[in-house]
Amino acid sequence: MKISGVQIFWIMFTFVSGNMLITTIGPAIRDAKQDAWISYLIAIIFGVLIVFVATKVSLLYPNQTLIEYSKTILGKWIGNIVVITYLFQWYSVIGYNLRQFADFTITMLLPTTPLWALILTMLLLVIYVTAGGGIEGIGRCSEVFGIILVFSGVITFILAVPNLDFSKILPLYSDSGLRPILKGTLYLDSYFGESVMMMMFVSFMAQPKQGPSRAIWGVALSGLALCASSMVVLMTLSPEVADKLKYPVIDAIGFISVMGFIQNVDLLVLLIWMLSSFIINSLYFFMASYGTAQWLKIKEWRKTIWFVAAFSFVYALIFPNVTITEVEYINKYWIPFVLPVNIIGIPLLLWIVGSIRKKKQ
Amino acid sequence: MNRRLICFVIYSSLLFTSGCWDRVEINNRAIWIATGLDAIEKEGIQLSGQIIIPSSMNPQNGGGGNGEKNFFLISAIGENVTDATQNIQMKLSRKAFYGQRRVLLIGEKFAKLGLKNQLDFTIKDPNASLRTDAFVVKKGTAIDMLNLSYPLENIPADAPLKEHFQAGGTNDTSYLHFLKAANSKGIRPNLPAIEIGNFQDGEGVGKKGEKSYQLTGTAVFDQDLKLCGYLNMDEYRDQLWIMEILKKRSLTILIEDGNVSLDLDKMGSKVIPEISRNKKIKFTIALTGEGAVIENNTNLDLTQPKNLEFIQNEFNKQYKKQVVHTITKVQTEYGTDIFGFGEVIHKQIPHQWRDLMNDWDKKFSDADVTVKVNLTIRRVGLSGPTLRK
Repeated sequence: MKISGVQIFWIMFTFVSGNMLITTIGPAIRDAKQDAWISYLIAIIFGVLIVFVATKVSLLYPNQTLIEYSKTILGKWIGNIVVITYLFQWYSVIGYNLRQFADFTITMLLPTTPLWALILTMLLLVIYVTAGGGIEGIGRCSEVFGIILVFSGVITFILAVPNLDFSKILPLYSDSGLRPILKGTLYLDSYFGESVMMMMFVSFMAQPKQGPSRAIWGVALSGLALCASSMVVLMTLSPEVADKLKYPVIDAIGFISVMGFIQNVDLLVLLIWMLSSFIINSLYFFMASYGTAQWLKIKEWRKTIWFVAAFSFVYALIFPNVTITEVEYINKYWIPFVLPVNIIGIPLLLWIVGSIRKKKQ
Repeated sequence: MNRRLICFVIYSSLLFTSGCWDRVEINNRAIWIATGLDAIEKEGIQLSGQIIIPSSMNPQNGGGGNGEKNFFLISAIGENVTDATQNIQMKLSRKAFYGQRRVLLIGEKFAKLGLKNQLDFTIKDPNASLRTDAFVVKKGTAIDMLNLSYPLENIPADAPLKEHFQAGGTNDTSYLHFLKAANSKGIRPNLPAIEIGNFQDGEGVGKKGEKSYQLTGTAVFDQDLKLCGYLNMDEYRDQLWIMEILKKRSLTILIEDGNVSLDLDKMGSKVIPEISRNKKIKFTIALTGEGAVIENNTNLDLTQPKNLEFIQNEFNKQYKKQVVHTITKVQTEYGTDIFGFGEVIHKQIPHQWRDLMNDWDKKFSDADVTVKVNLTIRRVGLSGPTLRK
């Protein structure tokens, strides 16, 4: 299983943009109103820093994954605690993401389809790509999906241009001030911060040295794409209307009507979301099963897939409806725990201790 | 061999089991074109819908006008829209589909009671589009209006939509404008108004019962989204001009012995707010326009620059008066800022807006307004000296 630098770029790009396109624009606008796009710009800087730290840490021991080098760096005991913290996060996210996929699809497209059918469909696809190709399979998928994503994104953007009214994002800054913008940024950071998963992937790269630059490009460009989408939403719907809507990006794109016959383009947004939802799910699924196997020293890592699959299926079913609880989940779990510990604290700790150890050698 | 057989069975089953199982065939849908809302009593609402009859929509039958209606009207009463929808469904053999709904009519009585509590439904249904043209039915109910047929359009609800488009208003974004204004502090909402009119004016002409949808200006709402009055079509155009929405308009003025018409095809507007030391608010509105004189019923020869300049000044003067009249009418009669002057302050001098924001309607009514109209006559069309000589 080897992945190239280009694949890392596309993995990061599809992962970040698809993950955030539908779920974050609404909350960001609710916090920062017409300055939501500034929140994105600030959040990109944070995301880039996180990826930089995560890849730099991994480059200290380019042949080891997070599971291995956290023990190498911090010793057996603390290393194990670090590993458990991450495994806990990954397992919790799989169920959440699967459930989010199912709930969202039910709301938008298939109102009478039973929950389990959607979860199972996605799960089977995810198992297929993970068991069949591992991270390499996911990398190749995101190479293909990423291009579809960019293509449909550009098309919708061009179609949306006639609806844009620049004056809707005025006045800049003075309405919200720094605090709401930073509050919006915090919510976004918890999503951008998920790119900390690069700590698992660098060791799979054919040329680990390319890791930092490729991953940073991926995060930065997808962040800019998101910033542009938030501006499209604001300039089409105005902040006053957008903050009353649950998924304003769907409504903003649904508002497109070119010459009266190019309509309902919001399906393109759903397509983008479906594709990247698949990538997101498989990435976490891979990390959880591969990580568990490495941690428990199971030689054939694919055996853990079945455990992870069963676990996430049940977990997704009992998880409360995500369309209602997602903001709570982020505000109560991600921002207070995952963000300071998994995303900022541990990578920095590993980087500092690891560099000192390397120097001593 | 066995393995191949299993694979074959599984893959071939994909051919038959794929597809959407949540689909509703078009044959099982009732395509809902326009929604009407009326107040029945204090609490209840009457929801009415115009639904097309698919069998009459095929081209061989021709559209409307042949006496056969190709739509029908259905209505029910309920506590709120969802409740009324459920009650309507009891009379409807197919599931209502809102994806094509572009028109929302609001009865006058309903608008007077306020729209605040009834807005939710329009945006929460994933099928319904925000791209909707909403109208207030002046001196009437939405259900009466939806019952009219219209000779030119297959679907009668297209008529108000297209009339509004021809008039150059906010068009199918009017509902979005309304929602934006309803949620902003510096602008009050207004919606186009429509009434039941006759096709021909005058008595005894035309068949009995031939009524038309007639655009009649705009309905002005206050902060609580209650209807507080109307503006006529000219005043509505003034408002759209000030807000830079209007793209074309014909102006007509009277001078000495006749009248002249100017057809504008380029229009612009700039609102400049000014706040003096003692918190007196002043707006300067600069309106511009370019166009051609298309009718000249005076003795003036427009091929002479002197006359052209005279007419141009006359246009500026008279339309300045007209726009000032419109603004003063809104200020004194309704006292709600449908022009979005508050938003202009909000956008241009945001630090001052925080103090003005509360009780804006009162400050709007007290504000001084200066209007400058600057029209340019680009062409005089094909008219030389007037024919009357």
